[in-house]
Amino acid sequence: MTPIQKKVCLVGAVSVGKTSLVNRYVHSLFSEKYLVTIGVKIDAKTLRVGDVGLRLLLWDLAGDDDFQRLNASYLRGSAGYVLVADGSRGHTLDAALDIQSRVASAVGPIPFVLALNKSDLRDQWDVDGRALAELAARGWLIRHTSAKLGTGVQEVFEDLARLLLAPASTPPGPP
Amino acid sequence: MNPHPSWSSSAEVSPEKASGRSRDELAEIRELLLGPEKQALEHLRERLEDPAQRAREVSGVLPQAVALACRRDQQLASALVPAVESALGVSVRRDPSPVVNAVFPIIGPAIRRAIAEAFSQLVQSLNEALDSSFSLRGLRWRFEAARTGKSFGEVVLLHTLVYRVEQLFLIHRASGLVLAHVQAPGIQAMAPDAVSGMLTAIQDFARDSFHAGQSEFLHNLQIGELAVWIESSPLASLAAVIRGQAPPEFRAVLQEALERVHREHSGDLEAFRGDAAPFEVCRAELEACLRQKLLERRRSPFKAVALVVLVVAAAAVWAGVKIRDQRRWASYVQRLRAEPGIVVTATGSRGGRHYVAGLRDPIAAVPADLRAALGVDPARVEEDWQPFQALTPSLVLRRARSALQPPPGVQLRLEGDVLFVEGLAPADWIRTAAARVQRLTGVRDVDLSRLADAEAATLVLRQQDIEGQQLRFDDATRLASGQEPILTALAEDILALHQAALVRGKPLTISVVGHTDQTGTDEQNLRISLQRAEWVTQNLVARGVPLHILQPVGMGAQQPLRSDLPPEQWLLNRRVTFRVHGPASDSPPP
Ligand SMILES: Nc1nc2c(ncn2[C@@H]2O[C@H](COP(=O)(O)OP(=O)(O)OP(=O)(O)O)[C@@H](O)[C@H]2O)c(=O)[nH]1
Ligand SMILES: [Mg+2]
Repeated sequence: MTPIQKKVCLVGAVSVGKTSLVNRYVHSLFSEKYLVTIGVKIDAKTLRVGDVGLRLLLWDLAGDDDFQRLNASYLRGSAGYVLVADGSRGHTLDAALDIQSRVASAVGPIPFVLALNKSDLRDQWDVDGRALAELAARGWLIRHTSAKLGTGVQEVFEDLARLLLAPASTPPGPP
Repeated sequence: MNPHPSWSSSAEVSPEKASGRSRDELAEIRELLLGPEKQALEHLRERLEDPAQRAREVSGVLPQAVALACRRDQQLASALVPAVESALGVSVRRDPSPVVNAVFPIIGPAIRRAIAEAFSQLVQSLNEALDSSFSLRGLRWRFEAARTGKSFGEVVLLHTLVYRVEQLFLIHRASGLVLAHVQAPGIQAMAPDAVSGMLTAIQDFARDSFHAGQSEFLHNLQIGELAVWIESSPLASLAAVIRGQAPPEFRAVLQEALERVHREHSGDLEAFRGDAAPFEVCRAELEACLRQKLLERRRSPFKAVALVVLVVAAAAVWAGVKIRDQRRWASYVQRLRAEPGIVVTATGSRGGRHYVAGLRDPIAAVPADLRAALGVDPARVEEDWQPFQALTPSLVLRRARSALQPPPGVQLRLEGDVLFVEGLAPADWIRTAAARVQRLTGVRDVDLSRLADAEAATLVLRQQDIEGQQLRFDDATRLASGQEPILTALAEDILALHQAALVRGKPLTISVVGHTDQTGTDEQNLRISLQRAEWVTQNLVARGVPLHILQPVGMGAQQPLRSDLPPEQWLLNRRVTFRVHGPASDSPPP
């Protein structure tokens, strides 16, 4: 039976590791080299949740910064998204919050997971634990990931996949 | 069906007792004896005569019977053919949809298989046809096939293709998810869903970049040899990946296909949440769009002929250029050899370039000028000239000329190794000439003896002019008629001679000599002759000649023009003549 397809976007500030997460998840690859994503790059990956086959179409969007705002038309038709922040650069989490509210106003309250990436950079960790706790309290699903080591990567996408299949569940996020 | 039914057993199982002799009894007996049989017969007749009953019974055994008959042979099947055929005909005439519905699931795959088979047959036959044909192009394609790992036939097909629709994507417009995807046989499609996403992203990007409305969309993309044609409806897009040049009509084919999909699945499109199953049936619609057209190969000899002509013409032009080039070079070398002061020691060509080497007198002709005059291409020439001095007379002369820079009146002449310098020249130049020709190669001796001071020469000439003049008189001191202009010209000549003598620092005196005829006494004649001389002197002074260079002298009749002059011509002796003492002549003044 053909799997159910879902469009999933990866959004976040510049250079937080969106492309790296997709490359790790889809191709099991990682590179230290940084190649800026321009526009969007699309990959696909099939996974199983319980006995349901799911085909994720992963839209890896260009990082959002002051010069290049998130392109809302790429978000159309998304079933969910992965919000990515760089744990070694605290301000990318603030940026992620801002991006999240913009995405929500563009496509509505669809499910998402926050990936706090580069968890391998322990000694440069720059994220306030309390801020995370607050987000978790709001119902946000948060995962620590390392595209470099592979830890938490599969889990992020599987978490999101489950949310996508959960019927009529109220998505997390601010009301 | 059991062909031998037995009812004897049923008689045995119903024993009857015989009792009494009455008809009733008989009837009873008969009843007793035959009753069961009668009943059975009755039952049988009923079964045979009632069609409904019979049908009920046959229906019970028919499946089994058909199965048996089919197992035995083909008879039943062939017997049924006309019936089934006409039944189908009737059915389709009445209402085709049940048959269509029934057949639909098998028809799509059947068509696909047929196409695939036809295609592989086509490739196969191309393979066979071309295996034997052995052309340059064939070789190239064969090489390409080996390189790309495709079959030879496939490569040929790619080259003989006008166009082929290789893939079709039915895309959910909002999400870019793929609803259905079909591909031509033999095409390896990569992740259609990701491609579908990219096509949508490109649409979004284009729309964003040009601030186009949601209803506008990109119709056409070109990626190398592939074109992507896109048609869009509000909920779905249909994208065709085409190799080659599809005709414009194909656009309409896409539009219609998309319209049908949209009409039949608008509900599914709106409700789409990622499950593409409802669109599986659209595959047939899409497959109908997988079209292709092959090139009709025209084998005209024209191209080959044109090619040959072209090659021959090119060769002729090349040869012509080559020959002309060779000719020019040859005449250049010949010219160099003939040129005095140039000695060609080596000549030839290497690597498409001509070369010439030798000795050249710096005073000789310049090779580049000769080359230019003959039209030899300098880019294709290498030259190597060593300097030397030639003893060819013409060059020795040329060298002498350039060393001497002789003025116009001077000629140079070489006899053996002696240089003769002849003619008139300014005194300054003459003074330095000897020094200038001292170290001239090819000249042993210089002869300047025939070289004259030009100014001195003019002095002599002027002096001769003056001394050749005379003024004739009618009377004692009256000029004969017509003598006035001579006097004026004389004054000018004398003045010029005076100037020249001054410049050269030479003294100048002119004797003005008066004469008379033989009539009269000597004393008288002497006086008159002196009067005449003085008169001329005064008149010259009046015309600007300084007095101190003039010396009036009276000669009386002592120097007649001619001693044998007849008396009627004696008048001619009444005259004044001039003698110049000074710059050119050594004769001292009297
Ligand atoms: N140490 C470490 N480095 C990472 C990790 N993930 C990504 N990087 C590095 O971070 C840099 C940026 O990674 P990308 O994946 O290109 O970032 P991005 O978010 O796609 O960037 P944009 O497309 O420009 O927005 C690269 O040099 C990666 O090698 C990680 O988990 N650990
Ligand atoms: Mg990127």
